[in-house]
Amino acid sequence: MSLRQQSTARLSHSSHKDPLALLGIGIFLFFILIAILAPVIIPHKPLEILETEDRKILSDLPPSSFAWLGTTPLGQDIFAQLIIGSQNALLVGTSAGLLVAAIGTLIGVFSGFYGGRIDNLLMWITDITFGIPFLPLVILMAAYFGSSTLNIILAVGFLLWRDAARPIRSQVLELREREFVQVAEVAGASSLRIIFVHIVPNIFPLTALYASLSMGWAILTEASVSFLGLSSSTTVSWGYMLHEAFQSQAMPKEQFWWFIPPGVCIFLLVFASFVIGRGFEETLIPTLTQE
Amino acid sequence: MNINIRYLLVRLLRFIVTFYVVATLVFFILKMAPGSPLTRYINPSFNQQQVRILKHQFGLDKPLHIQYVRYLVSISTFKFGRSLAYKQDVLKLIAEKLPNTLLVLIPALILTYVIGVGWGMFAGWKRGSKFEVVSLLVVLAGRAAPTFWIGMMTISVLAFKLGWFPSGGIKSPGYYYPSFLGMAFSSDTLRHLILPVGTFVFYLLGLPFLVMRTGMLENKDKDFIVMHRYCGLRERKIMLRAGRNALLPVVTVIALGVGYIFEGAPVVETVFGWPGVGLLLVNAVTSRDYPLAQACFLFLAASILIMNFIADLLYGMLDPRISAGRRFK
Repeated sequence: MSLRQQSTARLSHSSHKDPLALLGIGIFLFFILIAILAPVIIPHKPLEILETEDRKILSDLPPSSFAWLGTTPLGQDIFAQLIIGSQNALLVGTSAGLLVAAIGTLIGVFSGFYGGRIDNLLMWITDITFGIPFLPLVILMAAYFGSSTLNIILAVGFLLWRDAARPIRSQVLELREREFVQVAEVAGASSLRIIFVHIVPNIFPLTALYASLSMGWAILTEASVSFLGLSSSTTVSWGYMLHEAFQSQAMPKEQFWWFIPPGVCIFLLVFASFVIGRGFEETLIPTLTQE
Repeated sequence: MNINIRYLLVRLLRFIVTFYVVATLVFFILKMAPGSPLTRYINPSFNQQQVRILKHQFGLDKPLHIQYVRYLVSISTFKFGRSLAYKQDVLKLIAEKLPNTLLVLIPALILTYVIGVGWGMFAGWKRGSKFEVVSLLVVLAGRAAPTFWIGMMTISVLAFKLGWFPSGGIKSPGYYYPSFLGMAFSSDTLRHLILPVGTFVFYLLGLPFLVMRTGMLENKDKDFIVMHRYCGLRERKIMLRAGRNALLPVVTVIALGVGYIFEGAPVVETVFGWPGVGLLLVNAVTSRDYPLAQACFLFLAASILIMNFIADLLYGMLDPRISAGRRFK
């Protein structure tokens, strides 16, 4: 059995055994469903100002059948914002996760495969990126370049690959010595072919682990930046909702329906990405699961 | 003390180079950013002549490489300029706020490590038990929940609903302290401290907990543990022996923990209205006070780098194989 088959087998095996990872996948699928069906679910537009027939703003309504989670002081439907927020969270999470996986894998693989100077240089760059305070940099970039969702995704992607690069490199160092790689080398396969056909697929669980962890970090980071009021006010995200709630004194006014649900949603999605990551980790290091 | 000079120098060099790269990065982010850093100064009614004079005063009419060299010189001589909003030297502002940040950071760090190490040791020892699973879930929850939201929840319940703690700030109105230490040890400050410190501890706990737990799993079945068991040592004592062996990697993540606190500071300090360096950065960024934002950022970066440097030295001292290994490579 090839290494890839082994790991795939172990992966499906462990995901049956790991109820947490299954729960994570369940939560993730649930939010994807919500995000897709969002336009159908929401009763009002998320930023629409709701008014009575005689043009009075319906501000600060408690939860009712009209607005399930009440309204903001501006008369916006909180439930609609919550549902739409899932789209932004998934967009930020998955794209930042993919970016981290791509950059981290490339750097780790080239570093481990070529060794020597390339390895030294790439690992030196990785070392340096570890010295950059992550969230403050994202705050700084959001402030200087404007805080579009795209900028936040890029800032996260271009920094968080550092976590993935080193473990992937060590894995590649090990793989390089394996027979199937050496056979390919003897058979005259080009370096790039060996890298992309023989090595990259075999480190997939590790790549997936870091992709899913960074998805969680990206969602948390976007939420933090939006909470600080640095996101654009036309993008409705869960962090933005919490910013608005915090600024409008929702806490002393005890409007629990406003600031609890977005936090729970962030928590669930990030939790899901962490336990899915843990599932991959246990595939990689089976001793962790064995009693 | 078998610390190796070469090891120390290599680490020191790495620290300096990394800081230089970070500083360069900040410079180019600022230069690449759309809009002029003078927006705060320039009034739409200014004519071309006045704008030119202003640019000249700030050295913005010079070519990029000259500006860059000037920037590096001013940083290495600790001249970060004046804040646009506070009209004060930015270093003075940071020095004013730093003790407040440390006032949260130090107790949070100590509590995190005392609780995390003990709990992680116990959870690792009780591998496979319900206790371990529940502990793991709690710790993962602390990781996954946004810190500012945890802060908001504790404020709404413990401060507004139950009235046990103040809802934010560092002191109650009307309090005045002649010295920082007098303030740091007053009961009023303590009441203000509990919620931010608690929030940080809940967030950071996962780090020592998980590292300690993994270390216990590695040591649990080692020969020396089996040996202790044959000798008839009590279970609790055996656990402590295994724990002592698992402690080494925990030391290295202390620096990581400090890094996390400095990174979390902007958000947590905002929620609790705690006047520290983090809140200073957030205020500087929202009011487009570029010199202040830049200095705060460089300060946070330097703090994290210094902690990493210290951790490297500690690790090299505790485990001589690491500092010696370089020589024979």
